[in-house]
Amino acid sequence: MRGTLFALALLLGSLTAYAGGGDDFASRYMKLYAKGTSLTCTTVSPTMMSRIMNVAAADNEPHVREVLARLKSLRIVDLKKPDEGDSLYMKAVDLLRQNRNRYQAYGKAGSTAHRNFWFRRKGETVVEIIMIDRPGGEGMNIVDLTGNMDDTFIKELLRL
Amino acid sequence: MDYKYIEQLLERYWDGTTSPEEECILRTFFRQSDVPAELLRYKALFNYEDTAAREEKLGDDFDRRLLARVAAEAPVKARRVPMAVRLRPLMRAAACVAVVVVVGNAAQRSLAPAPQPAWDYSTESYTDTYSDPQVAYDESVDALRRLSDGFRALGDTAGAAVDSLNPRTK
Repeated sequence: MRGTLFALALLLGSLTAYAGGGDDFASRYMKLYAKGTSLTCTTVSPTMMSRIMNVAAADNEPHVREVLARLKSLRIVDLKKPDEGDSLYMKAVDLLRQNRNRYQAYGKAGSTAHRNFWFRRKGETVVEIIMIDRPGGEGMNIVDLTGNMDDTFIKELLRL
Repeated sequence: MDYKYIEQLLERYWDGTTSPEEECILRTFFRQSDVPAELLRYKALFNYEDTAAREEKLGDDFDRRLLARVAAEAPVKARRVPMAVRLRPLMRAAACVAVVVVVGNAAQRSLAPAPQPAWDYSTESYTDTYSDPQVAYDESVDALRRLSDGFRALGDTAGAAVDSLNPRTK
């Protein structure tokens, strides 16, 4: 009896964990590859995102405000040592390719030689946009946005 | 006892040659209580008139009384039923249907699962780098501009970017 209850609790727990999206890409990437590298991650949490809306209101930037209103979080992954860029860039792209069910490449090729865009969609809402960039073919940075993004968001983003 | 005379009278009765006096003798005979067993079957035939006389008959004034009674009854007048009364069953049925629909709708709304928010990440997985909202804002705007530049560097217009991300246009 106790064993059955334990199994049921375990099943429910795993279902709950599966139902949720869990970590965003940047978080997962840092967990997997940050150790022993010069990768750093800057995080703006959902709580801070709601606080910076007040700053945006005071800044009188309607496009920025419109974009930030759709965001829940933002992470920026940077690399201090440019020579680590090649392998970490490849690892980031490989990780996204391994999770093709979750992330889709943006556009036709989804990339140029040094820049990749990926997104995760739930229904008609884009919940995550990832840009992996190697400016000038050196170093690497990742910008990872999560939120409830739609057509208006993209239009406003391109007006920044 | 010898009933030969009675049997002869019966034979003549069947032949139809008995006189009224002789038929009266037969009726008198069969009216008595101790009729022999072999002649008992004729008893009902000759007692018929006696039993028929006892049966209840309609009186001579039956028809007159019946017709008088029918004539005395008030004529049936056509009752005028208003439209509201005529439609009452229909209205009751419509009200029942309305109640069922309203209750069903209410039950469906209350039992339907709440729409799941699209954003499904764990808020616990985020630890802020900055505690100052102004610094976080500057950093966010900078990152957003990089992203915007990146999209534009692909040569995309806003329309193309929207189309690419929008599942309806895929």
